Amino acid sequence: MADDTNGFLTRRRALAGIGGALGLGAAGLYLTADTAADVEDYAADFTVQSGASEGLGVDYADRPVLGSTDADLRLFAWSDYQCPYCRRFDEETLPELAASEVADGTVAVVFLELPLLGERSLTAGVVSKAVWRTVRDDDPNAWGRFHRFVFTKQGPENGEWATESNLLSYAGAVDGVPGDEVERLVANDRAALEASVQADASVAFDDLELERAAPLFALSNPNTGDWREIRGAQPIGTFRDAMTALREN
Amino acid sequence: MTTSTSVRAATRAASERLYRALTYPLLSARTTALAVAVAAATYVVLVASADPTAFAAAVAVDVAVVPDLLVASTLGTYRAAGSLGLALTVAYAVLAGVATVVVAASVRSGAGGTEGLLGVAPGVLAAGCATCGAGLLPLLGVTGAYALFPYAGNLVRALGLAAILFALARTGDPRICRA
Repeated sequence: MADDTNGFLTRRRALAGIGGALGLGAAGLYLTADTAADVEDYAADFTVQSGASEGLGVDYADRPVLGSTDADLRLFAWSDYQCPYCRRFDEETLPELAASEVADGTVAVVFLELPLLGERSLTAGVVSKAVWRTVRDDDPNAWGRFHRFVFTKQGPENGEWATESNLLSYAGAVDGVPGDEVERLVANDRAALEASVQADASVAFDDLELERAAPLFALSNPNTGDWREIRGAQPIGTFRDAMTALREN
Repeated sequence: MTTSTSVRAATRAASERLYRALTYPLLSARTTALAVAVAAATYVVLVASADPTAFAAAVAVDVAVVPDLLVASTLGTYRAAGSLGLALTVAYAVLAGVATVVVAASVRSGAGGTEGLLGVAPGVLAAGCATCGAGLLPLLGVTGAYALFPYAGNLVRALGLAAILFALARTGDPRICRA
């Protein structure tokens, strides 16, 4: 009996060991896998807009817009791919906003770059602009997938994860993003892409005189011209309160 | 922009950042609880350290005497430093709780954590010195330690509080990345 019990325990241990090894292996594969294919679209569509927004007068050209510009409000959202709070906003707040207020036409989110934390923030902004230029006509939602995927790759400030070659490899891994074309655009048109990124920052710091921080938001009611600044990865309630206030005024 | 306008704008921005840092712990039950716990612990350490040997000896004999000891220590602080000194000690304990939550939030996110820690640490040390220092000196054989500090330690306490407030006004809402 004792032998049987020992044998049972041994088999159980062996099974547990195999299970544990498989689990660890799966975890390892998950951690090392290129998970771009797992990145989902936001629950609303990106659109290509032109002209300037009513109220704040921010030009839509070269800036991804999530939702329709027929929406009641605009949320101009500046972020730095190296900023952990920008990642938090993207992971925790934006999906919920997209599924509710963007989807129902309350607000459209306009994405702008904010290279705040160093040279590699600028590089990330440049690659982001290049991705938008290559996908906006055929598959604008691909930019959203790239945007989310880069945040999943976020590591230490100005670390290896944010080198140009790595950022280009992230772009190439995202479904719908023509990696070769993005690479060519970055190589051949870098000055213009950098100027576009800097123009985004200039809207925040020079035109609207927002604080030098990230993420930054300017929530605007184009009909009344009223707007308010929101700083940091605030909970969704903060955005909803601001939207309610701006719509009522 | 003239110099006075820019000074006014900078002051307004610093005031708003300070307000956001001070109110940050109140945004969730968890951070509020942490701030209160740290504030309470800090207060105990501050008032008890006025006579740490007696406090330690009494606690070693019977833990049940702690509330009475705290009352006695509070009265001791009041007698030594006056109502202003006691108020500064309470304010310091509260700000220590706030600063802990704000710095913890920064460190946890990896956004400017070291800067936040370095910014707040001098204020914490300076203010802590006002009472802990006075309390620790008796351990080294120096009696009447409060008398060694200007205005019974209140000047150092006030400077320490100012240092923490300055650090919090620089940090602001910890859910923000800064260049």
